[in-house]
Amino acid sequence: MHEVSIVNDLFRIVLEVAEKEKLSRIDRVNFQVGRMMQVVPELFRFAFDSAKTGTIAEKATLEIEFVPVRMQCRHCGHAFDVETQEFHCPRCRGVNLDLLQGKELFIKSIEGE
Amino acid sequence: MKRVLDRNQDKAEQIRSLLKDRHVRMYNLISSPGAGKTTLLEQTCRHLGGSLKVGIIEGDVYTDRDAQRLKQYGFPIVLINTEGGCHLDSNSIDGALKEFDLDEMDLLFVENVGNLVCPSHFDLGETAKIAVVSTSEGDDKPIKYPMLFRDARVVVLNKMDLLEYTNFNYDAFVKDLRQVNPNVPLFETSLTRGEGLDGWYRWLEGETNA
Ligand SMILES: Nc1nc2c(ncn2[C@@H]2O[C@H](COP(=O)(O)OP(=O)(O)O)[C@@H](O)[C@H]2O)c(=O)[nH]1
Ligand SMILES: [Mg+2]
Ligand SMILES: [Zn+2]
Repeated sequence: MHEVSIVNDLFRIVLEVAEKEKLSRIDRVNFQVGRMMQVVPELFRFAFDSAKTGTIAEKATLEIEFVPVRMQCRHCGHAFDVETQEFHCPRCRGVNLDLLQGKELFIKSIEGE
Repeated sequence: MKRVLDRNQDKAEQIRSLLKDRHVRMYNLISSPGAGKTTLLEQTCRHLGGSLKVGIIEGDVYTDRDAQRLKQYGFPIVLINTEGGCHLDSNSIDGALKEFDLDEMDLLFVENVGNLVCPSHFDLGETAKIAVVSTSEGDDKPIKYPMLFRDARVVVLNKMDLLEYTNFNYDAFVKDLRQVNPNVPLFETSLTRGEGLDGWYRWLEGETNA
């Protein structure tokens, strides 16, 4: 349930931004999360909906965009998305890999007025 | 674009540089409930007693039984009550560190909340993450929890004494682990018997002399 901590921090940032931008209502939060972070969308939405009650984001919807895990092989340089849970290079079967993306936890944008 | 959990990360970096400054190494022990974190700490405290000054941050407490088990070794222990939370964060570690005299300390062990997912996402400012798994769990843990097993600097496979009574597939486990983290040291232990710990102690000593 690290989803709860992530949502709490997300809300802290959203409300900070809202204050800075003088928003009185938040309609939508666009959130980007890497697959490596193992966020369960149902849990995340549930935590989001619990956190938003009584705030200016009460009616806000949450858009979650998942970013695939992308690795690069140190042996042959090939970059590829890890789709199944096969952590090896599909070209040379090398296992020494660098993570290029997949650990994102970004608020891409906040919509409101 | 705003990065979530930046605050945790910033605090973790502060802790990391503080510990570096004071020459203290901090190891973050992560496992499922019951894999053997506390038993690993008990054995390690017994072994190190006298030679190194150790501190323990206990974050996996339902009762104070684990702390009682560890108290007898005479090292300072700070308990963190996560109030049902599923992981420790850098802020709670920051608070706990204030209770120790860091100048009188070589090693700090953090027993994280028993869970393989959440703790692996929160940097505590540790020197290294240590993953503990046991043969009474599934052998597919490295593939299921790649975040932890990629980041771990040491993997302990515990309850080797039970291997023959379980359906744990040792070869599959090692193969998966090597795929996720090809070079990580793997120590195979029966912690209740105190077996298989030589490699772990050597690793710890190598780290402290580094
Ligand atoms: N058979 C066996 N049991 C073990 C071993 N190591 C720990 N245990 C037992 O497993 C249980 C959980 O261990 P504990 O260290 O408390 O796990 P923790 O939740 O990760 O701290 C305890 O009853 C231990 O005695 C082992 O190597 N073999
Ligand atoms: Mg324990
Ligand atoms: Zn390759």
